Amino acid sequence: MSQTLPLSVVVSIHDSAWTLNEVLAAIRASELRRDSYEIIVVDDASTDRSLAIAARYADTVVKLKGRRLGPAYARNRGVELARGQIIAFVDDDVVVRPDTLSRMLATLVERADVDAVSASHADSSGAPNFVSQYWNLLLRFGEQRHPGSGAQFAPGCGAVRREAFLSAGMYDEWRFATACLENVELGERLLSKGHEVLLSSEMKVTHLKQWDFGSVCQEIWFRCRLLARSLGYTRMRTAAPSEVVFTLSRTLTPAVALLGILMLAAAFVPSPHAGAKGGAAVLALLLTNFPMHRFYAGARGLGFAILSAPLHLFVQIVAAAALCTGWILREVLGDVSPDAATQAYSEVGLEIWPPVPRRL
Amino acid sequence: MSRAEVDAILVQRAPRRTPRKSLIVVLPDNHVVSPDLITERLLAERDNEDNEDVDVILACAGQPLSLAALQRSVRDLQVLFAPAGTSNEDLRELAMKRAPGDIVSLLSGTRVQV
Repeated sequence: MSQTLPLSVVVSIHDSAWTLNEVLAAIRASELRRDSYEIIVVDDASTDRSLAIAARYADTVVKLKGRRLGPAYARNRGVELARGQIIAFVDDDVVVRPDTLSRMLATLVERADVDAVSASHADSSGAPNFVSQYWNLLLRFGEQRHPGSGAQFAPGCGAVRREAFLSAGMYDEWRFATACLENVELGERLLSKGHEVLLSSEMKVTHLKQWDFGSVCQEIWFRCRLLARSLGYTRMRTAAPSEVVFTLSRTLTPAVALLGILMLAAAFVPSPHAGAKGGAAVLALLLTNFPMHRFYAGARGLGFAILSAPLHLFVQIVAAAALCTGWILREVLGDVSPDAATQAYSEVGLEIWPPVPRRL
Repeated sequence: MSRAEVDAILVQRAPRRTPRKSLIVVLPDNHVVSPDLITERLLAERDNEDNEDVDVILACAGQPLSLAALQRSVRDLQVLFAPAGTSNEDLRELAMKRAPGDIVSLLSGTRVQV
C-alpha cells in the first residue's frame, strides 16, 4: 500500500488470548487520532482464540501458520506491510498508557537526533503474585540505574524510525527463534550504525505476564546463555547496561572477591563451622546486592526486600551457571543457528509463504 | 482421476510463493461503505508482482443499504449476514473465521448521517 501514515503499531502474538483484549484495547484508547496510525497484528501460529480477538481491533492481521517462528520473525513480517514512517512494537502482554504512543511519536518527531525510543516497566506488574512483582522490580531497577541512551530497545514497547530499522537490517530472525534478547541485539545494531536509541524512564508500560519461580529461572537461563553464546558479554554490557543479565551478574564478581577475602580470613580461625562458611557467602552476596535490596525495600517495604533476597540469590546462581554454559557452548558449538531444514531452505533460496527466516 | 485433476490437487497442496490476501468490510447497523473505497483498497492490495485476486468478504448487521452497488462493483463478493444490532467487533470476528487469506485487511464502514 502506498499511502503513508505517521505510525504503525505492530503486535506479534502467540497464544495470547488471555491478555490480548486488554493489550489491543489499550492501543486503541491511545491519545492519537484513529486515522493517524494502523494496528498490524501478526499471529505466530496461535492455537487459541488470539486470531478472533485480534480481528476485533486490528487494521491488518497476518496469519503465520505451521510452526512458531518467534517474535523477531513475526515483527519483521508486520513491518513489511506497515505504512507508518515510525514503527512501534508492542508485546502481547503489554498495556500501554493512553499517552505512551503519542509521547513516543512526539519524541521521534521533535528530536531528529533520536531514532528509537522505548518505554520502561511500570512500578508494579499487572500480575499481583510475588514472583511477578519481584521480576518487574528487577527489570525496573536496571532501567532506573541506566536510563537514557544505550542499546536497550525495550522488548515491551518501543518505537523506531522505519528508515533506521530497515537500514539496521530489521530484527535478526535467523538467530532469535524465541522471545529472548532480540530487542537488545537490534538496539546494539542500531547503535553501531550511528542511530540514537533512547530508553525513557518517564514513559511506562504495564506487563501483564504472570511469572512463577520456574518461568523466571527459565527466562534467566535462556537470556544469560544466549547472551554469552551469541552476543558477547563484554560488548553487550557496554552497549546495554540496563539489561537484566547485567543487573544480576554485575554483583557476582565483587561477591566472589569478597567471599574469597572472607574465606581467607576464616582460614586463620581454628576449624570454622560449615554454617559460618555458608553465612559468609550469603553475607557477601547480600552486601554486594545492597543497592537492589534497598530499592526493593523502598518500592515494596522491608518485608518484600527480605522475602525476595533468597529468590534473588537463587536467580543469580542460575545466571552464573547459564553464563558459564553459554561460554562453553560458544567455544564448542559456536553461534546459535536455526534447524537444518531452515538452513537448507535458505541455502537454496526457496520462495514460499511464510518465507524462510532470513540471515542478516 | 484425470491428469488435470491431479495437477490441480498438487498445485493446491504445494506451498504458496506469495501470501493469499483477504479484505473484510464491516458494516454494522446504519453504516455504509463506498464501492470506490473498496476498489481503491483492492488496487492497493494487488500491488505485488503476482497481481493475485483478493477475497472480499462483506460482514453486515441486518440488510445493508448499499449491497446492490457493492455486488455490482466487486466481483465474487462474499456476504455474511448477521442479525441486526450485531456489533462492529463481533462482525469482524465472524468475518475473520471465514477469511481464507494469510494477510487479512479489515475496513469498517462509516455511519450514515441522519
